[in-house]
Amino acid sequence: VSAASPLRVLLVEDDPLVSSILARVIAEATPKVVSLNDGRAALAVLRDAQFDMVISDLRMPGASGIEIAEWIRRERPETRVVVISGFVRDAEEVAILAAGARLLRKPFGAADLLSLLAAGDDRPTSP
Amino acid sequence: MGDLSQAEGGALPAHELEAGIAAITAVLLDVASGRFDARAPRTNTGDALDVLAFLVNATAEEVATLVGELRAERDELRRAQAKLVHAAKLAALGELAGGVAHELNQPLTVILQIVELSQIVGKPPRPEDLELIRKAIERMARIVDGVRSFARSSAMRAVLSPGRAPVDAALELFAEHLRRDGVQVVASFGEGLPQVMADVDRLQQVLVNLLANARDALAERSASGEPRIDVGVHASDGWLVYSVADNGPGVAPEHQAHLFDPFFTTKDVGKGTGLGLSVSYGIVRDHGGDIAFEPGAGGGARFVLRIPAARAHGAP
Repeated sequence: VSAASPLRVLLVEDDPLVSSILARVIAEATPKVVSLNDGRAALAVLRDAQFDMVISDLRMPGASGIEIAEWIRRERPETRVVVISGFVRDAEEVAILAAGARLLRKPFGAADLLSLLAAGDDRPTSP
Repeated sequence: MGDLSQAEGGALPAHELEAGIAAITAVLLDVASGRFDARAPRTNTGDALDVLAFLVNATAEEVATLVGELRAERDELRRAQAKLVHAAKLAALGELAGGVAHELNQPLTVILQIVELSQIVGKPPRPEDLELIRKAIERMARIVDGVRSFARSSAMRAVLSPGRAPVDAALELFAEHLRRDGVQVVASFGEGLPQVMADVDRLQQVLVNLLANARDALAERSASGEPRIDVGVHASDGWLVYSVADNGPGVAPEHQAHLFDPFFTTKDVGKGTGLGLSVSYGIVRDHGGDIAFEPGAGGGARFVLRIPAARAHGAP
């Protein structure tokens, strides 16, 4: 755990119930969590701020998790992306993986989420 | 020689003629009532009656062949149609299963997160986490309820009922709710409404669903104007036409095509299951009717149900 620079995480999830608990669990791993409920707002925030990891729902208003993953692959290739969803069609899964993102299927528990965050902390030391 | 010429061209005795015509008439009656294997007796004498019997038999044979072919084709068509209906049902079921999976996995995630977090940190869940669990479980119960009414659409009990009965039943259940929410409800009933062969509970469910949707739409409306719902029924050309109209914000053009799709909803996450209108659609179709959205006057939404009126003289 790099105490000097805690992991910066952006959570994008439009379901308030899911969002509130995921934000809480992520807060167990890092104090730097930003939580949004809209895909387009997420893209706007991503243009201005740096994140180490983006955890995004698949189907949301504004922009989908796939669009976010594709944007990040082009514009912020150093940011890791995890797309979370309760129902993924085959074509969507292909698109998620093609965008270099990981797919985490709902339901998943706190242990899965925390180990993802721990893995995301294996950041290469500053360029 | 003299005998032969008599057989070929001579007049038949009256009683033979009568018997022959009676036999041929009996065959024609048989064929007319579907017994295509009936055949007139042949004398093979070549006289007029025998020729007639030959032609009637040949015709009966041809009819039997054609009817057999038609029946085979009809059965084939029925099988093909049944396959199509089955395929459509499977497709709808696939959509439903996908939707149910997605909807249930949301609250399940919430519960699993809280349970595991509690195990990891070694502390019991906080009161606010327990509250999240309760909300998650309530949402799952709503989804299960929605699926149940979706599945129920096979066992309908239709009885002859007054045409206005579904509206009365819906208002009885829901009008007070609407008034409490500050919505003005205006009911109108056409003159001389025919009876309807209907499962009134089911049609009540449809109308209550439409009233609830209208109420939700009116709650969103930010502009001026008293929130108002018009509900009613009138007769038109052998149909009973039920309608629910509101003066809310209406339905966006891009959403109109999906209104009756399972799990389609524009409501906030967790508010609507997206099953109400697709269940309604199934119920109305079970009644031999249809349901449609029409943009209402002044921009609101208007849903129209058409259910066939019962025949005036009893027989359904």
